[in-house]
Amino acid sequence: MKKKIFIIILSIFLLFLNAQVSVVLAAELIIVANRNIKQNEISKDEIKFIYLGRKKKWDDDSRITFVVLRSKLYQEKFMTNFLGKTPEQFDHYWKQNVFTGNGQTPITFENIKDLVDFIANRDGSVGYVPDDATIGNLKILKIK
Amino acid sequence: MKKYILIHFLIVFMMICIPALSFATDIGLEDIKKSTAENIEIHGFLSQGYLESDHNNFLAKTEDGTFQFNEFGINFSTRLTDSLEAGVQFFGRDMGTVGNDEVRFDWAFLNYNWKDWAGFKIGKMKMIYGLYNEVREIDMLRPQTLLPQSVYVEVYRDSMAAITGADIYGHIPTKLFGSFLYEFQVGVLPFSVDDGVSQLIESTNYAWKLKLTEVDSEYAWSYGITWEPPVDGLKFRYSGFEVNGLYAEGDVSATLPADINHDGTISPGEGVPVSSFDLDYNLVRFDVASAEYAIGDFVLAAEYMNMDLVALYQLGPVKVRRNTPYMGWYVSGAYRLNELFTMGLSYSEFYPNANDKDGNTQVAAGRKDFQGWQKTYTVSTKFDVNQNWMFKLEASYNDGFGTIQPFYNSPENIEPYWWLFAAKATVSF
Repeated sequence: MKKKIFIIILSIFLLFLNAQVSVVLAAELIIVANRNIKQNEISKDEIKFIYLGRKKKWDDDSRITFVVLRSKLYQEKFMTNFLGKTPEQFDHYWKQNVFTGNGQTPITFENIKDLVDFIANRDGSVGYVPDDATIGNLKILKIK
Repeated sequence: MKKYILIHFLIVFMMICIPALSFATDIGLEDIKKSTAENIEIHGFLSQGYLESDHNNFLAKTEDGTFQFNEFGINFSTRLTDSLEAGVQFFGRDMGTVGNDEVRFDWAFLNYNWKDWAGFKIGKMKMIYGLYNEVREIDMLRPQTLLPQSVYVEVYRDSMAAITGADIYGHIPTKLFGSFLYEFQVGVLPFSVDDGVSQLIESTNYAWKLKLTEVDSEYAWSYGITWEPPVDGLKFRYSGFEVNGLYAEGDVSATLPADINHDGTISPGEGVPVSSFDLDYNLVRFDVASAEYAIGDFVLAAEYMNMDLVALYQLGPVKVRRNTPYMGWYVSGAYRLNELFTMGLSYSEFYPNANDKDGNTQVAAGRKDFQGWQKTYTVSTKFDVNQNWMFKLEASYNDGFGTIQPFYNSPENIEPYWWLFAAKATVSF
């Protein structure tokens, strides 16, 4: 009985074993924010704390709304470089918050135009886009 | 008495806070209503599992296989103002004779984020304990079907899951040493004559046919200090809690052996009849040291738990003091091979008496020596069918039956080496 169970688990393991696919990203990412935000610079740590829900307000005490660009290429690069997490770890982290009452699901967009429009119309909002994206009158926050 | 004063104080404090905070942020009730209507989030989950063991019933009647292993919940949350959030989660579960799918509040609280380094919560919230107590009700958030029982003892789950009271928390970043997060809670824990703690007390006093009539406590406090050094994915935590004034009362039907007729011998059945049972815990304290390292698709974790328990039993005229420290630890690793499949391995050890790892006191009490330890090897697999569906398969090999929850077993039938198999499917939204 024990041997059969072990063989079943091993077979399923081998069945779902896949090689990882690596992706080369052409564009760099920039941090963009609503025009009304007072600061012009932001540190990598601040970005990390914002996206992990630990920094919830700008220096003037106004609320931060961060948005996620749900694009495999850009999301993976942003989260690896700024948060030290994979997109799956990020989703897992926010699911923990949602199901323990410590936060709500991050606002996400599949395409850049919708993300840019949202940030343009929501005070205190911030996000990331490729540096060749059309960002209208959004403010670019320089990484310090 | 202290518990009721605390609860009433907290209710009055909440009644003052909500209108005061609305005034402070210059937002009226209509704005709160509008904000609430715009962004109420609803999430939920449903898990159904199956447990089977080849020997020894564990957590439920597992030797025959059981489907009495499920959890379900739904939560609602909203942001009331820039700094104030509110939410509630309803939850129900079944594990053997505990839970029985009775719906209760899992958590329900107001969360006021004053500063990044200081926020406050009032209500019923998940209790800080180890890395995973806050999410132990949420099956899809871990690769294991069962959390390591060496640290997350199932019998205490109903009472340890959440604390009703007040909470202060914060995040303190530093330039050189990474970040520190702290959280302190004070309030009351839920106890009832139907929960796991009561089952444990009754089962360890089954010889007296104990039936508990009341189980309660005065108050509890918990703490958690987390350090995230400047290494991505690494964190350390020290956490724990203490329960004050925990007591249990009940009815028994027993005869304490005594030489009633003063003939120099105690005949079978001769003694003092007793009908009352009292148990006062002078100390109930858990502490856990934890470490977790998430690197790429790997997550490694290790935890060590120490529990101090000093109890005073009174059976009729007889009083007995017991000091029973538990100890447990585990190491685990999980690897996400791809979008579909995650695999985990863990090893854990648990000792129901940390001062006796060889089981000698078990033998002296008429039990078997292997009831002094439980060493468990576990292989876990998780299949994420899509964002909403997943299922798990798990197999554990156990050396020893040192569980503190030996319910459903006849002492003569307990085996030293045994397997436990678990399967579970979960849907979430």
